[in-house]
Amino acid sequence: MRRLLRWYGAGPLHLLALLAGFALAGYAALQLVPSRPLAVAVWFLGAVIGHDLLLMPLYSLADRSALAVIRHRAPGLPAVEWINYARVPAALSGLLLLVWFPLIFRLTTAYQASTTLSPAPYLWHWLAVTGALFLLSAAAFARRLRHAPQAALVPSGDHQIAAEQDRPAWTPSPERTARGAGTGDGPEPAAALDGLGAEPEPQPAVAEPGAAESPAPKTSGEATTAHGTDAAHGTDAAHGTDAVPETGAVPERGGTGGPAEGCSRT
Amino acid sequence: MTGAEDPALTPDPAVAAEPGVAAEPAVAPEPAVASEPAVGSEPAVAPEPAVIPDPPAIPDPPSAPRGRRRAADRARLWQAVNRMRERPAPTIENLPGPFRRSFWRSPIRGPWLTSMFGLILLGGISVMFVTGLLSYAAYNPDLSPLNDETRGKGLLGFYLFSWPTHPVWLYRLNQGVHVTLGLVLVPILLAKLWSVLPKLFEWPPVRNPAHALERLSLFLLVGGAVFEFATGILNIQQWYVFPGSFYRLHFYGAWVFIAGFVVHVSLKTPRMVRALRSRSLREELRTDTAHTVPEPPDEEHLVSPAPAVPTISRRGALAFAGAGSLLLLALSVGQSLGGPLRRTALLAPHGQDLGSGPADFQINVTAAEGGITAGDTGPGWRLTLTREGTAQSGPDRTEPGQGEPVSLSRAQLLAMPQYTAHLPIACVEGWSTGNQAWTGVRLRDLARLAGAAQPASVLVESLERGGTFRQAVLSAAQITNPDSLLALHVNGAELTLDHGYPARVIVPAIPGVHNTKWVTRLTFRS
Repeated sequence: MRRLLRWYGAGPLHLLALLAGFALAGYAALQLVPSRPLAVAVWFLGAVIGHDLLLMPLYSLADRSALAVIRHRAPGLPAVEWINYARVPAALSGLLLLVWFPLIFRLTTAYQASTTLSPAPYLWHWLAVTGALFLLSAAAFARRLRHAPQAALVPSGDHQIAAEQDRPAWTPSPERTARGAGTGDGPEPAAALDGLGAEPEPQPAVAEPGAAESPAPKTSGEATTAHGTDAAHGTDAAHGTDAVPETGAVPERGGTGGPAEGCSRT
Repeated sequence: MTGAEDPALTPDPAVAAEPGVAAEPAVAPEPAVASEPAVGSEPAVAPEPAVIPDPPAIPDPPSAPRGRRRAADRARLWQAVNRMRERPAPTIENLPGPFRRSFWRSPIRGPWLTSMFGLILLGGISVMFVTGLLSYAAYNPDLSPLNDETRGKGLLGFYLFSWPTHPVWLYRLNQGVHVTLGLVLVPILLAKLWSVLPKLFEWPPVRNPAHALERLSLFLLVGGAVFEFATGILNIQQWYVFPGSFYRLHFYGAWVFIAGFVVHVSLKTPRMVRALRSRSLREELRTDTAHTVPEPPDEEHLVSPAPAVPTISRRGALAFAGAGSLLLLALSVGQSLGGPLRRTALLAPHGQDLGSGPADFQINVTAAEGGITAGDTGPGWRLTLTREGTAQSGPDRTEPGQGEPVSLSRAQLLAMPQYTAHLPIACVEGWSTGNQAWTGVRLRDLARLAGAAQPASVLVESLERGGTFRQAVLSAAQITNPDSLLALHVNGAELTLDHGYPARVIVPAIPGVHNTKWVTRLTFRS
């Protein structure tokens, strides 16, 4: 018995639960069989394939392409993370389309005959809602830009992309934590700051004059530091430690928003 | 970015020699082997290049020395395998595309996030299932085969009971919740499926029989979920492209789905609880993108071994899915609430306001669609009342056989005592109207007139030429309720043709389709 269970790979309750499940599903499926069993099976299978191998890959691809295109094509854009300001309205609009496409595209031929209602408005409603979502998102982004620290608005160029793509795995490195901080919407939890301080090489910032006054740096300061280090990363396409010697060059490259200004502001 | 350079596909002996790369040859079918036909049948020989300095030597024809060499190779291979086994959990990095764990790079995927979506779905799907079964019960399917759209419920109708007539908004609430909640759960379901997608490509595809069975049950779960949501969402838009009767597909599909669901919940609940306890929700809700770090590696390998830089936090992902839910709710709930809020249902089949006249409320079958002609409903229209003593009625069958049919004109019906009831129309599709003031003759008065003082049921037949719901059977409680009417007027005006002129049934708390329009015959059974 023990050997049998070892061969099976789980406890007897596991087997029991699964068999009970299949029995129930099988019984229900038998009730379905008289009505076009093949078509029903195709629908079940199609449901899985349609989602897992079609819808999911498509929206993932769209998301990835958007990320890539946005980062490559717009070197002059601010470093404030803005993918979500495009991603959210697009996804919500897509969600509405996914749910209501038969109405929107008037696929229900009998709709008007059955309900006396016009099928015309749904396309316009969907477009209007989509427009409103993007408008809201743009307004929110504009607000974020206005309140963002000046340093975060410095064009980031392709350095950042290079840095992000070359890093093989996400590591809770200080520059990452800092770079994104410009986009954070709340006060940072103390724990995270502690973590920042505890990093083995947290001090690319040390090379910069402004960093001295920030053992618990404020948002703008972090953003500045971050931008600097990311740029450094970009230049030698390497990981955290390799970038450190280069940090001295960063303020020049950064251009307008010097790190000292960044830190003193807020 | 993904799978561009796959060491396994490069027939470089130096690469293959690296044990870390040729990980687990016993499990992975080694794409490298495929490029070497001579040893194709023998995966164990795959790392040969590691020990034979001259790779072209491999395709040698089989010979005696080769056999010996094989034995030696095998011994070396096992040494290599044992060495590998000592290494900490090797990731399978030589698989193509999505089968490689590092293909999946989202830094927020992990057991905690999956469990959050799972928890919401656990509650939501449970409510969906219960309201769905209640909706089925509301048709009183055990009263007559005519009421059973699933055709042969069998053991799956075990919970049926006589559907109550109070409160009058019972079905309206049940169905509004079922449909609106279903819409609201769509983004949560999508998010949940997204969060576990790497599991679809897990390698090896089957570890043992338990794993195989569990994966098969996931097919029921995922297939069932998408099937149920798809049929439901298409049905409320009246796009009947699914193969067969909606009732039957959605009902039995629900049982198939719930079988997978219950198995999944019972197997995964401990893990879900553990995952939810592993992180503080409060802390997560305070963590922005900048401070988002991946969850620690988990036994299910949901957490990416090569996470990308986060572009959204876990709270952001929750808010994202939640925003989708709220948007769907906002754009559809109006069709169930009615009144001035109906207009807010910009994307829902019954979100258009028809006006403020007495007959300006929602319809789902017009007279034209039902095949009702002017001749049918003209002065020649008669309501026929009959009484049937069925064989099963047993002891209280005082007058066996059929009673004398009673034929009534509309004027005669109007001459009878008129009552007013304030009742909604609530459709299985989730939309409903507010209470309308219906005026007409009580069904129990008509039963008495037909000679059935204590009717067990009544078969209501419509003038409709076809359609599933041209007839319905109502229960004793539904007949005797004082609010159950054969309505002749609505909101002070005569019924319009589309609302069922010359007469329609209206009964509290039942599915809209059982409020039969264009009634021509009532057969009371006692």
